[in-house]
Amino acid sequence: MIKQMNLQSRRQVLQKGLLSAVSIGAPAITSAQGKTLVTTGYGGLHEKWFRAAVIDPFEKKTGAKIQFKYGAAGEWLTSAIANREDPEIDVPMLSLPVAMRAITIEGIFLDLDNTKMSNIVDIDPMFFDLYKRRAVGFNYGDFGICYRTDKVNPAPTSWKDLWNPEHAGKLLLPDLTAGAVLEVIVIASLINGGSENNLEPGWEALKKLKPNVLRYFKNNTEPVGLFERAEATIGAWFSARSYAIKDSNVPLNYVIPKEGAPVGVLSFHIARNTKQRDLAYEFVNFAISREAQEKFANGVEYGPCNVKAQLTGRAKERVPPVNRLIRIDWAKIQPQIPAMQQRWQRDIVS
Amino acid sequence: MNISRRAIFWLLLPAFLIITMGLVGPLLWLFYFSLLASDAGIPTSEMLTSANYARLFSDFHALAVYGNTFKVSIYVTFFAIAFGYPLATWIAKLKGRKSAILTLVVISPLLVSIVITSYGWLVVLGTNGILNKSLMTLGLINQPIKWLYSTLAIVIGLTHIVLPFMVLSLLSALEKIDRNVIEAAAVLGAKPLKQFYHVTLPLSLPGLISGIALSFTICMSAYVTPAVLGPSGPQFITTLIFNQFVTFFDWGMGSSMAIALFLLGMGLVFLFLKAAYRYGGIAAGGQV
Repeated sequence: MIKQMNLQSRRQVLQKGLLSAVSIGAPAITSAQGKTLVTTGYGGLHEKWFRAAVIDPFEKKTGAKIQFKYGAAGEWLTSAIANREDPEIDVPMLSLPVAMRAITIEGIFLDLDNTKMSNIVDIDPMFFDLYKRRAVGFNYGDFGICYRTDKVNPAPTSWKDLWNPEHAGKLLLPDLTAGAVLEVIVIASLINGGSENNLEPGWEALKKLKPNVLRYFKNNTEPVGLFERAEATIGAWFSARSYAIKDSNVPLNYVIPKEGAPVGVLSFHIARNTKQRDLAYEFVNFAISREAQEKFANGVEYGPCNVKAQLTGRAKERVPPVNRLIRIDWAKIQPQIPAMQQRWQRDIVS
Repeated sequence: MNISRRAIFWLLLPAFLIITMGLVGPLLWLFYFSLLASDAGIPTSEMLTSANYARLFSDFHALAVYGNTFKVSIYVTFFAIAFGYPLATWIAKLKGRKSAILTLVVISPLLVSIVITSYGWLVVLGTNGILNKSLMTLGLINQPIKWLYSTLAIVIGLTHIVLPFMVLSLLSALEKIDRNVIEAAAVLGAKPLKQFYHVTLPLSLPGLISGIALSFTICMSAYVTPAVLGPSGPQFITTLIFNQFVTFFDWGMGSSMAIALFLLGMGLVFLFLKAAYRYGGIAAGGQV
């Protein structure tokens, strides 16, 4: 026991000595040394490149420890509400529809102070204004049509192709917990003469689409097995998710329909009551920097929100520029979100 | 006597504390929340209200989901008895090693995570899955049957999970039956069916009833199997509750649904226990 204590105190002295030595040389390191910041994300390619482009270099630069939590945006927002006094997650990364809901809830997340994020000047204003400055975009992905090249011939070119009776029982659409449901409703409306203010044509069309649907997938790993086993042959899905399967040698392809693809954005939110406010800002600022954005976007093959970040090689071919995407008028959709989700659950998936 | 009582107190204390802090406390909090008006999980007033329950009982969609959950639980329990009873009878007749090995085989699904068994069924039941492929090879069907993402798939998946519990409960009752009683019935001229109906079945009722109670409560509160194998829409009460919290952020409604499910489950367990007590009393000749 005594020996142990001696060892421990000796270690502490050593640590303190080291710390003070380091702090003279690099004050930035001591400010974050030993601090832990909790953020969130998705498994697979996303995690791999998020670690490589953001987490690892940030840890190295600041000495802080970043904890990465898995799950889904809805769960993280639920956690943010439940633990609002003492947040479990300091910097949750939310996907678009959940983020839209999140910014309407008072007292959960900070109104972001752009003077604390020097890199914000390089972010496409769309990805800051969209969130009324309560969050900032990290990356964007296009949401188009993914299909088995050996089963679907000719290749789909339009969103309307999903309604082709040939796909009966073979189509995948997202469910509420997998994101992009609101986008699907809006697209169905837009291609049938409706608009963000008039979604009725979309609802009618989606009801007619039901016989084609194999599964309204609950998370973004469900389609992987279904496409690989050819249970599903066509689906509305994110580009990088589709390409990830294609790159594992499954006969699969991804197209942006001629009407365009809606954009899915992941955004950073900072918990209002985080004990690491400065570190959280530092982390977000780092993640939206040109270097981090470039590395992540080229790795995952999603679009960067930083306009200075350059895509190269395959990512350049696969990621469409922002202006080729359908921009949904979220301001008009926002007040309708709860009603849309309820109706989706009752009339479409049930 | 005094010492053993004190010992019992200290031995029970950890369990009591865990149940109080881990179950009773959160449950009371959930009940309290179900009586509050709230927006996105944040109470809008401190006044207690029954509005969430009023919304629940006037929501036909939610009530239909309760009904469906109940229906599926009945199906699963039925199949668990249909498969479990013969299995338990067989194992009860075996002796020594054979009985031990078979019991191990029966409880083997419990050694694997429910998530994994559910994903296993996903591969078996798919359009291009083993089941459809085999049936098509045998020429029994021409087109694959859509087993997956249906109520049937939930029933299959849950029966697999519930079966060990049913067999174990039955086994504990069947093994206690004195062979001489059955032989006596045979000597007195009862045919096997009559032996079963008048002797074995009544004597195994306590085990059967506790098996039914276990099966029912496991089914009603199952989440993973219905979410992975079931239809896309929330047709199961647990998946509906999940959506209330995580998608709609309607915590008031979610809490009231959870409390209603809890009360329903408690009510059922109470009824089953009462029945087990009554029939158990008869079966054991008045000794319980």
